[in-house]
Amino acid sequence: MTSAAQVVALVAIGRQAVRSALAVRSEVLVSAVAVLVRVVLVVLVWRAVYAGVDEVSGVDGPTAVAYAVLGAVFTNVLNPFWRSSLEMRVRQGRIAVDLLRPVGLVPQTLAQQVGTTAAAVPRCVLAVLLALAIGALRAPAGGALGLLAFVVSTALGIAVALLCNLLVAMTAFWTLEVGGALMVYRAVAQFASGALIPLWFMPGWLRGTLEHLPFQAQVFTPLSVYFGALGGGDLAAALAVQALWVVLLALLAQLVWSRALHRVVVQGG
Amino acid sequence: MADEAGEAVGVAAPAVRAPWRPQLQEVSPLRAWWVLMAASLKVVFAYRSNLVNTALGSVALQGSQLLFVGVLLHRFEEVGGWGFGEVALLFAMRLCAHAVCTVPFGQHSVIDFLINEGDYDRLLLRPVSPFLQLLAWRFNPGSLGDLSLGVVVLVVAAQLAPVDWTPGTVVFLVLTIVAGGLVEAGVQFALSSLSFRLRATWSLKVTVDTTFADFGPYPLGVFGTVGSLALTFVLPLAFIAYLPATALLGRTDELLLPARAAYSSLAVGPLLFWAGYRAFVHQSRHYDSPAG
Repeated sequence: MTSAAQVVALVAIGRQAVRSALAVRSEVLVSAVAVLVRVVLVVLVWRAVYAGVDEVSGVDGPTAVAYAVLGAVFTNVLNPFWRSSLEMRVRQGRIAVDLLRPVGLVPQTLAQQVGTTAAAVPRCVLAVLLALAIGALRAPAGGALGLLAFVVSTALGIAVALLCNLLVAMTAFWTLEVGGALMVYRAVAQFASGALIPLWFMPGWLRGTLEHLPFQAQVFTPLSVYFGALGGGDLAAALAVQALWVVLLALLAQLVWSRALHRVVVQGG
Repeated sequence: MADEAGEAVGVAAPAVRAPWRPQLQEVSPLRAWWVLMAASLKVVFAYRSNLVNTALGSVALQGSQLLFVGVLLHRFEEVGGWGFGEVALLFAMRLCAHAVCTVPFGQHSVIDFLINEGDYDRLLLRPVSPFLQLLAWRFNPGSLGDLSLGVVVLVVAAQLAPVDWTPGTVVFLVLTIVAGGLVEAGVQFALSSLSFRLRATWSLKVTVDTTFADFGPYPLGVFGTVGSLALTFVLPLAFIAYLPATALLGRTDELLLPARAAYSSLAVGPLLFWAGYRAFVHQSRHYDSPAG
C-alpha cells in the first residue's frame, strides 16, 4: 500500500469516527448542553471565589474566570470519559481484523481519536461563543501573533493528549480490565494538566512537580500562551517542551506497541 | 416498591402444571435482590486486582475534585463565605450520599447496554422484577472507592467543621446522607427510564453525575439566585448535601427558601427515589427488544 493510499485510508477512518460520534442526535444535543452548562457553572464559581478580591498569586478575577472557561472546554475535548475503542476491540477479539488491515494499528487508533476530537469542535465553539456573550472570555493576548502561538500550542497540546490517551488505551494488551486505569488517568490528567485550576495557584512544590510531567503541556501551556503569561524566550521554550513531549510520547507509544504486538491475545480466536 | 416487585416475583400456579416446569417458590423481593446481589459481589471479589483498580479509579476521580477544592481554599481561604472545614463537610456529605446511591443502586448505569444488546430480554424471562435484576446486574467496584473516600473525608471533616456534635446531630447527619443518596438514585432511575425510548442516555447520566460531583462541594449561594433555584428544583443538587449542611452549620439564614427547607431532604429523598422507580417501571412498558 503506497503512503498516499495509507493517508486516504486514515482520513477515511477519521471521518468515520466523526460520523460515529455524531450519529445519535440525543447524545450530540446532551453533550452540547453539558459543556454549555459547565461553562456557566464554572464562571459562577470563579466569580464568587473572586468576590471582593482583586488579585491572588498575581492573577486577577477576569483572567481566572476566562482560564476556567477554557479549561472546561479543553477538558471536554482532550479528556473524555470514552477515549478509544481499542480496549473494547481487544476485549472482544475484533483486534484481529484491525491487525489485518494494511495500515498500522497505532495510526488507525490515532486517526480515530482525531476524528472523535474533531467531532467535539462544534460544541466547543458554541461554548466559547457563550462565554464571550456573557463577558467571561476575552481575545487572546498579543494580537494575531499571540493567536498564532496559541493555535500552535493548542495543536501540540492536543497531540500530547492523544498520545497519552493512546498509551493508556494500550494497557488493554496487558490487562483486559482497563476501566480503573482509565479513571485514575482521567483524574490525574484533569488536575495535573491545570484544566481544573491553573498551576499559578498551586503551592511551589506541587507546581514544580507538575511542570516535569506531560500533562501541563496539554492544557496549562496553551492557556498560558492565550493569556500572554509567557514572554518571547519563555514562549519559545514552552513550545519546545511541548514538541519534545510529542516526540518522546510518540517514541514511547511505538515501543509499547512493538511489545504489545507480542502480547496480543485474540479473544475467541 | 414491594408491591410492584412482589407482582413479578410471585408466580401464580398454572391451572395445569406442565410436567417439565419446576414449581417456583414465592420469594420476597428483598430476598431475591440479596441473592442476586450476593452473586454479583462474588463475581467482583473473584477478580481482586480489578476490584482494587476500579476502586482506586473512583478514589482518584473524586479525590481530584477534593484536591482542586483544597488548592482553591489554600489560596482564597473561603468560597461563598464558607471556610475550609465547612466546605470539607459539604464535600464529605455529598460523597457519602453518592456512595449510598452507587453501592446498592449504581448498576443503573448499564441500562443502555442491556437494552441495546438485547440482554434486557433475559431479565424479562426470569420470575423476579427486572428492576431488581438490573440493580444486581454487575456490582460496580468503583462504588467501594466512593464509600471509602467518603467515610475517611467525613471523619476528618466532622472534626474540622464548626458543628457541635451531639447524638441528635449525628443521627441527622446519617439520615440526611441516606436521603441524599436516595435523591441521586431517584434522579438516575428517572434518567435510566428514558433509555427505553431514547436508547442512549449515557451522556445524560454522566453529565448529571459529574455536575453533582464537580459542583456539589460549593455553597449554593455562589451560583446566584437563578443558579440556586435551578440546582434545587430542576436538578435537585441542593437536597443531596447543601440543604442539610446548612442546618448542621447553622447557616440556614443564607437560604432562599424558609429555614425548615434545610430538613426537607429527609422527605424529598424517599419521594424522588419512589418517583424515579415508578418512572422506570412505567417507561419499561415501552421496551422494544432489538431481537424483534
